[in-house]
Amino acid sequence: MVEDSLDGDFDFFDADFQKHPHEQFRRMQKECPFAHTNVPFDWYAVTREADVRALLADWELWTSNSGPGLANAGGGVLVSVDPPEHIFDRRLINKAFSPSQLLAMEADIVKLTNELIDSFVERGEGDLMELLAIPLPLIVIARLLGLDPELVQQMRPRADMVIHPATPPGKITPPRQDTPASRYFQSMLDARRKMHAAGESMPADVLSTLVSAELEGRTLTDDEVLGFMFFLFIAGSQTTTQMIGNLVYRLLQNPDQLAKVQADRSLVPQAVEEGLRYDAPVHGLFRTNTRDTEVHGVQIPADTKVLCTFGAANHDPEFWDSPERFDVERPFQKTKNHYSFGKGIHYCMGAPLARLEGAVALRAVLDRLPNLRLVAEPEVISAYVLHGVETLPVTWDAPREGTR
Amino acid sequence: MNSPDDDAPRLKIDHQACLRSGQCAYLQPGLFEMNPDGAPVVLTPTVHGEQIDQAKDAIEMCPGQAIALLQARRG
Repeated sequence: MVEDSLDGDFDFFDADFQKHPHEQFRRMQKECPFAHTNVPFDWYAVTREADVRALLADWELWTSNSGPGLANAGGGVLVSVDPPEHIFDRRLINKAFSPSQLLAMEADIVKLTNELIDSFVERGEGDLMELLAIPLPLIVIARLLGLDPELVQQMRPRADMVIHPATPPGKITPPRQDTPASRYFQSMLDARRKMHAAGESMPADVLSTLVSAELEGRTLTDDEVLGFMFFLFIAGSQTTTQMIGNLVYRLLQNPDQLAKVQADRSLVPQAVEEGLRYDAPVHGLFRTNTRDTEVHGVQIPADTKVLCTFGAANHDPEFWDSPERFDVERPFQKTKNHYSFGKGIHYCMGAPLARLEGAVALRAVLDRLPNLRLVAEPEVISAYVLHGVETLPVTWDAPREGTR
Repeated sequence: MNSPDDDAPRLKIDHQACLRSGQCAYLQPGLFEMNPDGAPVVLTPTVHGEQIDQAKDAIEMCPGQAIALLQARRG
């Protein structure tokens, strides 16, 4: 154990850790595969691919019922609940995110992406996060859920809201706050309930699905509907923003790789997948053991929080050849085994949507922002489990007047 | 079941398309399981009766669209 004030193997909230996570993960894999920290209280992390795989597979021992974050935030939806409730949640929402549904949305997403690029392409420079990677996923998820894309762009939820350890262990997350966002969501729900009660035809979106849904002969309560809406809104926006930003950053950092994708667009899905592997937008999520157990010889009591470190598993040399090489030609059949969408029963429901948005965004960037290059090193997010670039200052060759 | 197995619909996994999410084995443990490498295995190559609805559920929920129910050839 490391001495001094830090009584543990690592400090996840340390700025240096956040700047060089892969080096830290590698050290943890080698030296302490079941690493302990006491910041802000006792918890552990598994970093080896085999361990992350094993924990995610055994949901009866490693439950999500206490939430996917450090705070005990049980009783939620999807990501914070195990079977049997989880199966209901998953079936209910899955239709909106099914690959066949997404196929129908692809043209819309392409159009939206091009409209966004139209709005800034002539500037020839800017922060690609602000210009594209932030608004695109927000507008897409707003449309899917049935929210106003203009309004939600002002809200900009942070994905770590869901999982931030703001609450001490043992405490349940406080009830919904009264914020402009919560008031807006409530007003949308009220309006939709009126339409439903009046038998009017409702828009084909997730809000309609939730308002019409029945669970054991009853409709969902306001808290349940809003729980779904907030979760999907947050999970569907910033994670995808990070995926797009991190991917474009790695391509700019590796011009030979960028040139390969530029020359052969059939590599786009592989590049998106390699981007997901290389930079997990979420470093990892937590599980909680339902009974006393032992990991790598360490005894832990029931109700201990353990981080399944997706970002570390994605770089485990026991599983990947040259994991530190960013390689857009890595075969998809191998790369798809990354952990950035989790694995097992809680596998990310939005994965097909994220992959689609990533591919559409990358094609648009390649087609419409020629000679794209970094003008400065990006700022890096330093926020708990979120990983990646916060800014992406770039220039490109703007179209000359009349050539568009 | 009165139809011989040859006529029953067959469950098939496209392992290239499979994303190894494990959703099929989770939602329909009677039809699928995950092998130790994390790849799904079909437990009942042909499906009958209510298994057909279970198979359709797995098909709809598969994030890789990797499961198919092949209708038996007729005539």
